[in-house]
Amino acid sequence: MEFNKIQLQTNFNNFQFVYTNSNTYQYKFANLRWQPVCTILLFPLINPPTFSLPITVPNALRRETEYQAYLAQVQNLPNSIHIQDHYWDSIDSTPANTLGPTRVNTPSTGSDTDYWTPTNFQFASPTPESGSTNLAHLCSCGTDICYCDT
Amino acid sequence: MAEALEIQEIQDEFLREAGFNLTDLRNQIQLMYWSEQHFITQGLIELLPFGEILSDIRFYSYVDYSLDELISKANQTLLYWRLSGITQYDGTPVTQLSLFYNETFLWHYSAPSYQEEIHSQLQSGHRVRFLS
Repeated sequence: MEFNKIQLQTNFNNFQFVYTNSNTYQYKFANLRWQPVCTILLFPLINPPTFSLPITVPNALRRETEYQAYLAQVQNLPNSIHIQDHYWDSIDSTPANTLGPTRVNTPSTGSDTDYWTPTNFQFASPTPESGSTNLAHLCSCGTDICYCDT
Repeated sequence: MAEALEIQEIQDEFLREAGFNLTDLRNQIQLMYWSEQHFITQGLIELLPFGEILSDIRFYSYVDYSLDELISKANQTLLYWRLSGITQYDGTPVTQLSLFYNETFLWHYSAPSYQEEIHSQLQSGHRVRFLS
């Protein structure tokens, strides 16, 4: 599973969307677990030094109606792009069996590295949804990263 | 020839009774693939957020809580391929299929419809992702 990030490239008052690599996960049949292969977070969201340009000319192959219909379907999905303050309270947070003792993807604590690999991947949910009052007390969590006193 | 047809009919009946709910990838305009066989299970396609703009929360929720189910659904698709006797060009059973996002849908339909929100999220320091 490979995810990319949408980023902004600005030029005076104009901007355009570009994209960069973000997170890649692989399922390892040897131990029946998903593992993060590569996580790239520290490139700036605006004007990243390297990026890819999206296509400029659509190629809808005369299926515009179908594209529009699917867009309507996507727009009706819950939890799309909107930030929802109480989102974590609304989902089942039961740990999945094959993810090991903690989540597979949530960022490590206080890491300054550009790349997270399985070897330096420590887990901490970026929100205090784990239910640990100690975690909430010790960690300062942003959207992507928790900085914790250990 | 008649025997082969009979086996095919038995196979088809078995698959119908097994309750595989299938999706024809040719109708899924949010993704792309290169294959001569076009069917995967509906449950698998429903778990793949191609074409969606993923906020941080949606992304982490997906990766933390949906990946296990994804394996289960992929196994169902593999079972369907095996039971239905779908083979590759060299006659061996199909075991994998690569799916990619459709660039036209993402960049000319999905992203433009969320342009202001994507811009706002990025200006606020939040990452916005998509499944590629």
